[in-house]
Amino acid sequence: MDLLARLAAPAQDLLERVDRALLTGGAPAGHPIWPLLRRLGALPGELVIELAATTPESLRAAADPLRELARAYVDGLDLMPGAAGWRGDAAEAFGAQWRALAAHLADGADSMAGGLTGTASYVDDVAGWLAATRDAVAVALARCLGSTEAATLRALPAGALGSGVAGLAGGWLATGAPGAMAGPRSAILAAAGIGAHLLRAAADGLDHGEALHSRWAGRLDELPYRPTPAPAPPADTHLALPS
Amino acid sequence: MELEEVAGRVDRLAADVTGAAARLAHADPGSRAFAGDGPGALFAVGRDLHDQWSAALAAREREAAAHGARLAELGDRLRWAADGYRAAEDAAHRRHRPEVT
Repeated sequence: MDLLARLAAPAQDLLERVDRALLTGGAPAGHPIWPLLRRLGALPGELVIELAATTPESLRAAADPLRELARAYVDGLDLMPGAAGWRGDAAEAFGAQWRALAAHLADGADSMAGGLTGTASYVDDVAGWLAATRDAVAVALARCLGSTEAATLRALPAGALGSGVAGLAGGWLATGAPGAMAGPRSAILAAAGIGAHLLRAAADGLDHGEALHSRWAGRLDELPYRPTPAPAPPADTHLALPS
Repeated sequence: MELEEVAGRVDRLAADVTGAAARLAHADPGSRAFAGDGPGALFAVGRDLHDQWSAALAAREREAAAHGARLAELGDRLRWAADGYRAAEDAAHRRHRPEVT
């Protein structure tokens, strides 16, 4: 279990408060959260909760059967004797065809086994990206959990963050809870500050994810089979086996 | 090694490679594992990465299915050659066998 998975449950209430505050109160004009909201297209709380629900372990495990299969392709070739013991034009034709088939199956990076290994490396890369993104968001979340902004939001009475369209200020005023607690503007600023901190970490993950996608584009395409050129018609059409 | 034994080994390899295509079809942990199931651009990238993975897996499946068929065809041709070789040997034996009166 990584840090984000451990923090998800204790952070749930704060994350929901951040989103409700942003939904109902918005954020000040010119606040750094605005370009991040536009870039990410998601509220910080829902993004973090959904990210915490991903399962990076199953992603890492996905590479294992591909590598096993790549090894099986190589091992399969070891069972074949080739055409070393045979003579004649037909034996040579078989040998050439077998070499082409064997090379396509398991000879180096440009083979089917190489393609499987490359695909396994791809999913390793994606798993690494997801783990790094989760870690970066988790570190940001850990900082937020102990922040004064978090304390400001937690101090709000539940009714002050009425769901949806009621509006933070309206909900705040309805509870009649001024006094020692922070006012609506400080709550809005707190939510925007926490949201920007979380979204910034997520935006870095987004940048790296896009770069990862571009880096692998076209590298895992289907490998075309290149048969051996058709040989000249053999004078001898029989295989000659060693006596 | 006898020609028929080689044909048998090629057949088994063909079956293994063809079977790999079916195994690959079950190797996908799903879009959620790629962070492809959520709101906004981050999860859209997760979906793109899952699409890239799905396309790669499908390519590996097609490669395995096509190459399994090529190997099976080679096995058939070897067996056909072995049958022809055996028939030729039998005919030669019959020609040289002393006639029984």
